[in-house]
Amino acid sequence: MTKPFPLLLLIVLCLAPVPLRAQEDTLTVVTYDSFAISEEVQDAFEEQSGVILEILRLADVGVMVNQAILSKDNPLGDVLYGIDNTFLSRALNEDLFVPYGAEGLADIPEEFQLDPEFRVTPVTYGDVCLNYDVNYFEENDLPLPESLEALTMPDYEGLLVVQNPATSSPGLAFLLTTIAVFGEEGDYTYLDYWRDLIANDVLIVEGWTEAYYTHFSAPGRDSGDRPLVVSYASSPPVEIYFADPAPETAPTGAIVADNTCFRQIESAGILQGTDNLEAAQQFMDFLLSVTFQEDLPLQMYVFPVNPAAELPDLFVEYAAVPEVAVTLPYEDIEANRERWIQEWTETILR
Amino acid sequence: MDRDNPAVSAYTIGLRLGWYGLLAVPLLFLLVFYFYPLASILWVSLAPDGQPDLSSFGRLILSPYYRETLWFTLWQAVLSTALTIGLALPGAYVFTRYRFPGKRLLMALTALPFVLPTVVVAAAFSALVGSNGIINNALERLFSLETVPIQLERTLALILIVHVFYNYTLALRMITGYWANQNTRIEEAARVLGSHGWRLWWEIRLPALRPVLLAAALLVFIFTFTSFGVILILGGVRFATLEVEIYRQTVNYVNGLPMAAALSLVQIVIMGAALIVYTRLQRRVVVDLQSAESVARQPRTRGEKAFVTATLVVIVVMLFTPLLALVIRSFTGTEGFTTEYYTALGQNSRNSVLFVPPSTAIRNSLLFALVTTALSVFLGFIAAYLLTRRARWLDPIFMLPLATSAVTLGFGLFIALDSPPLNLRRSPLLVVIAHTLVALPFVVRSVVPALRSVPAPLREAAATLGAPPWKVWLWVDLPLISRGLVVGATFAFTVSMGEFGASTFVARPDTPTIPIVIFRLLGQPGAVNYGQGIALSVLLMAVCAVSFVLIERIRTAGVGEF
Amino acid sequence: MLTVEQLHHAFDRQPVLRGINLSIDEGEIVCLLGPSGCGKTTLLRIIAGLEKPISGDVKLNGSSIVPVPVHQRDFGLMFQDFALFPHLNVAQNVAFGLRMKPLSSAEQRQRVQEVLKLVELEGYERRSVTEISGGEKQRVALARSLCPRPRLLMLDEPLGSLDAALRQRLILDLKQIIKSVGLTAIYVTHDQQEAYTIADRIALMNAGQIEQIDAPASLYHRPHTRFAAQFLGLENIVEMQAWRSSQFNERYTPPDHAGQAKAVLLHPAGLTLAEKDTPGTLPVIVVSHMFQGRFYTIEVEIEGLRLRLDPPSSRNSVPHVGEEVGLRIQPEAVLWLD
Repeated sequence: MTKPFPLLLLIVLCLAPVPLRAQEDTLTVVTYDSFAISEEVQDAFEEQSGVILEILRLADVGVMVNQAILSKDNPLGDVLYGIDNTFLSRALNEDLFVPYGAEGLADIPEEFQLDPEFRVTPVTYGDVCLNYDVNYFEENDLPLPESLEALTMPDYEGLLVVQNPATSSPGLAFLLTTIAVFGEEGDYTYLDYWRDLIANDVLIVEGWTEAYYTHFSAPGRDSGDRPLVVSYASSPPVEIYFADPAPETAPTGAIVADNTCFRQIESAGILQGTDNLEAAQQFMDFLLSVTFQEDLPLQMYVFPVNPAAELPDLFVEYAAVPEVAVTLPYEDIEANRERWIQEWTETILR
Repeated sequence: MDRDNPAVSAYTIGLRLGWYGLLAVPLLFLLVFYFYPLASILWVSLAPDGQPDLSSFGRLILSPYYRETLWFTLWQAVLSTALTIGLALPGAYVFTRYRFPGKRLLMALTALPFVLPTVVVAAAFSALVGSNGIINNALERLFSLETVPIQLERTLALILIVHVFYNYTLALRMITGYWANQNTRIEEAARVLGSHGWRLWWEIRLPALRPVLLAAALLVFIFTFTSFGVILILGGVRFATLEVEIYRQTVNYVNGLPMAAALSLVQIVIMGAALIVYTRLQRRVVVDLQSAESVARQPRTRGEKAFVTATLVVIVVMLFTPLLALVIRSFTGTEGFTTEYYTALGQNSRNSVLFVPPSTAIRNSLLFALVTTALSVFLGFIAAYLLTRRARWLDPIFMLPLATSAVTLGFGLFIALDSPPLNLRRSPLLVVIAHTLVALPFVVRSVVPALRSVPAPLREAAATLGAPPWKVWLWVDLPLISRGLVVGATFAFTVSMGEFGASTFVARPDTPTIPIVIFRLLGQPGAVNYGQGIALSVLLMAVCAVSFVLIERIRTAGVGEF
Repeated sequence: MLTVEQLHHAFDRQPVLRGINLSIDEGEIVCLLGPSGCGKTTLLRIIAGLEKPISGDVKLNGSSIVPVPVHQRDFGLMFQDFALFPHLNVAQNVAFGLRMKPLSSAEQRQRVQEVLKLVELEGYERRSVTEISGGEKQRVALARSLCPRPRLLMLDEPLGSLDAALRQRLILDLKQIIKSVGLTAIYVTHDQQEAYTIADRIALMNAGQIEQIDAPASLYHRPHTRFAAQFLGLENIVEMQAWRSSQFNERYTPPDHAGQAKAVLLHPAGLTLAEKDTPGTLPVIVVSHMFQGRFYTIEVEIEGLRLRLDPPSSRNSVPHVGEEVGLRIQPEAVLWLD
């Protein structure tokens, strides 16, 4: 005869409230799913501060910010890590953060310091740039497109794949680049530019993975047939990092011409309501420390904001940083983002 | 007499109360973990300042964009349903009427696509029919073509193909299960009276199958109406269902919650209506477990053999070539055959805390899946009892989580369960709860028909022999429906293994499951990362395939309404 | 021992029991006989506790058992298709009721053995109930009902699904077993032969009411109502009006108590044929005759009335169709029907 009691017991045990681990010595960092640091670096922080780091992951930045706002009266953790300039305004308006001037903030270049009230601390930056298939351009003896306008020229017809700004973070960055460059008013607006891109057979896909793996022609053998893709300035070194055996020359490159890249700045902030303020502040200091900053490039493929941090050889050799990257005030992004995406969707997709 | 003794009657009253308490458990579960979170998120979204603001409904109705979204959602679902049923009908005929080698194995494996996460399926289809997929490459080489011969990506055709791929097994199983238990005398009588060929189909077979065809069609409609990943990943940017739009609104616009809530409500109302009809129909499709006498025989004439072979070839090609392409892809490196992706899965090359060894992901997935299975079988069994014996009208309500947007549900769980005694936001239990909400309808649908087919006299006999209701339940119902339970349990297990929706929208400490690790790997540059993602997908597929083959050994043909 | 008082029941407002009164003595076998839909099974299910009556009472030894749930009544019920538990073997099926009682497993085993011996199924303990024959199933079902020593045994068409020859044999076994245990029993059937064989008394039911309760022989020989007569296959019914205008009326005047009678039954058991013009007979013409094995069925006509009689078959010749013969009616064969 069936014995249901072990099963019942299991259920009861499962439903019993799990004791919360909100002890003094744990610091909870709320972040997105792909947050990564080296084990040694995490150990170093834990040793130095005496607190245990708990990393709480949410699907992506948009989900993270929305959930942080929804739960601001009863925050999920002590620190929010990874909020970028496209989502910053709302988070600041909602009064999510405790201001804190982290140690070493003074050494961080002005351009990364988004909030004069120190509610958030910049940690990383990265540029969304066009990546190209080196082979293709060599074989066809084609010059690289050095401006956004070039992409509408017949030479580059059918070569570019971009992401939907409504669902993809680099896709949104690229849209913002076009808005910053062409503007919303005048003879030739960003929407006119996009119409020309469409006329030049640009391919728009939903996300970065599809664009990069399925349609971009360079990496791996399963790749597609488009030699230009919207990706990150850090993608070429990462491509080499994961190639086995390492290739002699880089298979892909990033185009860092002026006014073609969009700069994303990622920040972190101490969440209002933390009962562990001291440890949270220690963690903010740690984020700007050379130890953490030097770990960033090969863990999350972004650049450190601390100029004292040395880049790994791979980045020095293969990663390019644009001289003039495009950016928009985060207040503008927040105020217009929904309208821009809507307009773009209605003009370009329908 | 015993029952006049007050102590004894207090004991019986206690027992009876316990019994009713037990019956209330699944309802309570839904109330706390489904309705309460749903109401919370809808309230927060639609009344951010405590005052209901219904203007998003106005925008929804007035904007041609949302009307078009709703319209597209509707007609792609209708089209997908028609195709699925149309293709499943000949398949069901072959499975009902003919015996052929490997029949049970094939039936078992048809369920495989249904439980795979969309990221995996998308990878499988691009490995097969992508512009650099196996088919296109082969065609290009064969005919030395310059352009890609088959352009399926981001077309409606691909969406429809994948919808058929996903839902074929539902239709096939439901129709076969019903058909195999139909009385063949009616058909024989019709034949004696001179009916044959298309008239036999039109006048006898189709009318006899009508209830199950409608029920299957409605179920496929429900699944395709709420289609999310398929549209988002494979459909490309031009297509959006309600579910995709809800996701876009929630994830991208910090002000998108009111519209997402409005869209969610619209979807729940439409799906709720569909579910009410579905569960009504389903009641008419009772399968008699005791008389499952097989009418299947070997195909005899050349025509029969050709028909059976052709149908099976279509099924195999449709369902398994994408999966095969995925397997091939996982073993193909830059220089041909390689196992590097599988070995790379176990190496933490960056020494990163993000790294998840496959054994850990598999362990996490197995753990979640086991707890989900235990919980959903426990709840599903009680719910099925409730639905068959006491409150039939509750049936659509238990199905509702299937029709609710994963984003909405995830956010709802997140904001509703944030304070003691139910502070589960950071608990891995929230993942289990999210999985259980999705798995529960599957268990209910597997157990309800089994329970309906338990003859009432057996329970009455047990009662007259002195068994109180809970003993009848435990000693008569439970063993008799154990097969239905096993089917339900396997569905729960595999649904949990492959779930990649609600659980990604709940916060969690680092307990990544296989689909989450796959998603992470596919989200990073580098060919090895991509290869690893594919390799892990193949492992997930293997785990699911083994479970399906295992249940097919215990289940009787046609148990389970799905 | 068991009394049923003024019991009413209905399904979907459709009355199925209309004021049933019945009392059963200790050790008695009462048979509920009637056509399908007469309410006999519903009555049984109410007594068993599987249905709650709309009104009326069921009393056991003087106290009402209506509020007592089915599993606390200590009654045994044998179902039409036996309702054996397919997932249990013979011994487990039989032991099912015992397991609800505080008995040690040794005691249980002993009792199962005892009962299996009673129904002559020793050695069947481990057999699967899906693999044994119909007759064996019937005995397992009986054993299962008897095993917990019920205060009352109820049988709902327990032989319904078996073939005729098997039924005849099993019904005798059944009666013998029930009597040997000294059980009180209620037996539901639509088959009068079964009822005659097994019952001490038969309650004949029609349309939710009991038409007549009597010992089998009394019921057969003296049905009180037209329905009873017809149900028992006694078809020589003459309407009162026709009777009054016939020559019967002069010979058999209705007694006083038959004042309300609506029809007259000429019971075939009291009808015989004789040579034409034999004194004391009425002249009739043979309309048809059929050989039935142990008897003939002969139809005769008199004054436009057709009567049937079943003389035992013998090697003697029978009158042929169209022949004029004499019909003798014994006085006790003339029954006044309500």
